[in-house]
Amino acid sequence: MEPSIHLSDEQLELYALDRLADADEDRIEGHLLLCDPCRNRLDEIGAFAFGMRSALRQTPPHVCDEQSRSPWSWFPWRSWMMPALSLGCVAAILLVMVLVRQPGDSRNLAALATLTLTATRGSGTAEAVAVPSKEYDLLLADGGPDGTEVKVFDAAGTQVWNGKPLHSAAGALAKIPVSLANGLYLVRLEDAGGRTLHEYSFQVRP
Amino acid sequence: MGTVSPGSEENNQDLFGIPDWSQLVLRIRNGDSAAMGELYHVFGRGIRYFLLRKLGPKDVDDRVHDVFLIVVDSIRNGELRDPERLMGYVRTVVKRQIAASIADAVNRRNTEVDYEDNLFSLADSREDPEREVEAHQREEIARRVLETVSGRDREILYRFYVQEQPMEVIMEQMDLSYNQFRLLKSRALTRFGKIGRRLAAGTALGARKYIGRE
Repeated sequence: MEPSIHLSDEQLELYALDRLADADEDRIEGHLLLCDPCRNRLDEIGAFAFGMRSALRQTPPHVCDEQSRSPWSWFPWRSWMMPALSLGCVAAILLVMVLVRQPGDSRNLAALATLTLTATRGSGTAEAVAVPSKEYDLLLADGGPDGTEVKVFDAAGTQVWNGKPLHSAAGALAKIPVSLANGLYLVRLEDAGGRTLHEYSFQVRP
Repeated sequence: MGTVSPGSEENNQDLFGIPDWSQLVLRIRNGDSAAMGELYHVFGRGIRYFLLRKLGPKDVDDRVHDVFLIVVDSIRNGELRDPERLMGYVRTVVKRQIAASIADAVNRRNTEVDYEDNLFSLADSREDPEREVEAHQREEIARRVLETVSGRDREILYRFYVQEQPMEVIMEQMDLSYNQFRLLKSRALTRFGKIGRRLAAGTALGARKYIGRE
């Protein structure tokens, strides 16, 4: 009992890359729940998209190559100038590579994302969404007494940050000075003895 | 193969055009076991797919079973008031199960770390080795594809996949039409598939030779 109309490559790719708005994502997931061919294509397109992202991160485009050739080729002293240009080019490429290797490609990230989270109380669904940013301010409602600790885990269960929040009447404010990759995150508030007081969750997506 | 825009309401019926959710729900409510079989037939593979995708193969059968139990119980108890919401409800249950499993994994990891701390050793935080191998293969294939594209095309792909610029921005800044953009990506995807199949065939051939069948 498969739908007769299928999703486009573009929709599947944006879904795989977690770059769809919530409403679109719901609709796509609804279709995928029922459609074998689209699920197969999603696997293929997802592999392509993640492979491309990973390979391009390792070897970013060398934009210097073409610029350094043609406009300067008529200069009579190019024979001694070219090594200098090449050196400059290599330096620029190295700089680009260093910048690109920063997690989350921080040049294009928002400076700060601020989120107010309420405890999930067992429902486990992440309703709060933040855009990819260099750092995050999480205001945890019902933030518990002084001395609590905040831990942030990614979807694989790996702890990505922990620290002490600042307490105020509004709740506990956790300032997270790291950029987070797109995905689902679980936040746990623990008391001084390591007991879980509350759990929260949020998503990072463009 | 027809396609739809995710935003178009009028396509909803076609997109999700499974007839008579209400009949199916009513029959399950009345204890019709054939209807439960139909429910499993319609949603089973999709549910399994999402659980596998997010949580991996461990305990996947149990998890699929759990989702079905929750859905069927909710239908029987009358908690699913609007039968037309059946698919949305199934999706919600799957998402909750995924979130609960992740929270569980976090709990377990905490316990394991405490235990290992007592032994003065560190937990191995590396990813699943199988997934790591797959990721390396994907990257290698993509690298081969990139060797065949021009510097400009590479920049377009870089902007889209690494810098996560929206398609419209790239098209405007790189002076591209929608068709040019789409064509570049679809060619790259086709090459990716061809190289991947060739590598897979090579690996299978090598494996057959190794075990002496050829």
